[in-house]
Amino acid sequence: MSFPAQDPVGRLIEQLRRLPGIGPRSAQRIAFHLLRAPQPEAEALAEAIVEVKRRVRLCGVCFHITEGERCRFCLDESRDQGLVCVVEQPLDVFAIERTGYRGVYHVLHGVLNPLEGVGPEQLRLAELVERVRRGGIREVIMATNPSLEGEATAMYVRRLLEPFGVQVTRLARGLPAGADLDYLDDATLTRALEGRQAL
Amino acid sequence: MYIYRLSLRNFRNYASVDLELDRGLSLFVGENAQGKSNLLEAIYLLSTLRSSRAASDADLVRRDVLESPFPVARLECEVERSAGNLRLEVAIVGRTVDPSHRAGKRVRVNGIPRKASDAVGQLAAVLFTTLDIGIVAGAPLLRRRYLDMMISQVDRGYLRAMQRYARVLQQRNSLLKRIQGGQASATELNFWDQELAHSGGIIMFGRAQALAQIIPHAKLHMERLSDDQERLDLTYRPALGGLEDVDCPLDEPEWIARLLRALQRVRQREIQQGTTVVGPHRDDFAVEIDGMPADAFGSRAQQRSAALSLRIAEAMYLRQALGDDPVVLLDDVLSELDARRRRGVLEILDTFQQTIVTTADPDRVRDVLTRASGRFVVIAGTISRFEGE
Repeated sequence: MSFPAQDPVGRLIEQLRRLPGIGPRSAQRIAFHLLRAPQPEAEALAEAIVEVKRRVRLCGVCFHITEGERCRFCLDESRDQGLVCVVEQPLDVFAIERTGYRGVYHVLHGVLNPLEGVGPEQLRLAELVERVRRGGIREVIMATNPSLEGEATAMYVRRLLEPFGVQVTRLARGLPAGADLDYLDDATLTRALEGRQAL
Repeated sequence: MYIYRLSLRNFRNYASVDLELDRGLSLFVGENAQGKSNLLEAIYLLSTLRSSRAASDADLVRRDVLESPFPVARLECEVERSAGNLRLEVAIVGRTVDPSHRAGKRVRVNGIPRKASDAVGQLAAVLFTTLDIGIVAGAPLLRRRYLDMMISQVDRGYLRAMQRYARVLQQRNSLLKRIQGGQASATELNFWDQELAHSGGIIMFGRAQALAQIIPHAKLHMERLSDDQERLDLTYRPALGGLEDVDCPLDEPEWIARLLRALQRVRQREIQQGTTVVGPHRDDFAVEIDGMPADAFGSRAQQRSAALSLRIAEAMYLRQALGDDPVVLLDDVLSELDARRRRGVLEILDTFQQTIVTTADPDRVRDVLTRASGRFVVIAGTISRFEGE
């Protein structure tokens, strides 16, 4: 079953299909759910979308999402402004926050990925270098994912920051908490073994 | 090691098969296209988690169920090993019906779900086929695959390096194309060079070592199997852009360093061509019979003996590396040998715990029939035992 794209329902389905993780079937389901939903509920959703686009922008310092000039982490003087955690995307900031981390962030908005055509100039890398050059930063923690592309980005940043004498560290790789050794895949176990620490 | 139980469900042309197998030689007799090769393919798949001939997983699922709500093939075997007994289960989902499921393979080792790559080599096997002549006379790809399938059964680090290498190579090639087109700068290559050299060096070291180990076995069996005690020589030809002629690296770090230097040497050429020109994806090994290249100068019989010697050497290599016998699979290869060579092969294979042989022509291999501890007949996807003649 398909709907003509100029039809209002068809238009909605087309728009929904562009969202990440939404296939044609899910798009239809959501569209018909909204069609049946009470007017205020559908409008609340539409407003939330408009609002987020109008009010949310990127922090001028760390490029995390914010409503003001600067994000709340960059403005918070009780946080350690000399400790910068570099992440791939804003969602990762929320993950690191859950650990009780008290430094600040830098969001790259992606990782180096030649296959997808993402090079250094597509990332917020020049801005990171500029931040470090201005001084006041002691340590940069590379918290990109432990994927090939995340590693590539971490190594690239380390090289970029070499001239400034700042300490660049990398998240450890190893066993997930609560894991059962017998059920772990070999790659994870091998890395944990390589990265073992003195007790 | 040996397989004592094997079950197939909806695999290729088998709807349902349950077999009990013994040590020694099991013979499967059947006309062409009845399912003999499919049986050996199933066992080899349990060993390598890769089909020896299918292009996609969907090809492995029996046609009648491919369009059903459960388009799944199941393979299961129980194996007695010196390293402890093994129950291996592989489910192959040929097609996704429900979008929440993925097509692909699910693997359990002794009941525990595993990544397919972690289950490779749990069951060790060597497969002889009539296409093996390609290792001697065919494209370099076939020789690389021969080494890769053999080494990855016993070396986890090698298998991981191969997987990582494939991804790094893809990324690096597209970066080279971007640099060629002026969309990226050559300094971005540094990380990818390091990574490529690292996993590539591990692969090259593994291949050099494995070849050194199989050479004496291959030479010995070539002498025994050929008519005039012909000499077989195998020489590794790593793709190092000219640096391979320098003395051979000895350990893994040296191979990695050598490949990194090769990458730096050919950088301009790689940028011009927009592709990686050195590294194990371009490797080869030379096969020579009595000092002449086997592909151009070897007779068909010589090439066949050389291919057979390489497979026997593979079985010996696995035995040495594992401290246990691999299961030996012969897909219709005995009927193309004369009685003397066949006896030679069988004498070697008698030293292995289990050999599984298929033939379309039992009258040509009566000597095999009399040696067999288990005899089966394969007709249209069903297998039954038979006794006597």
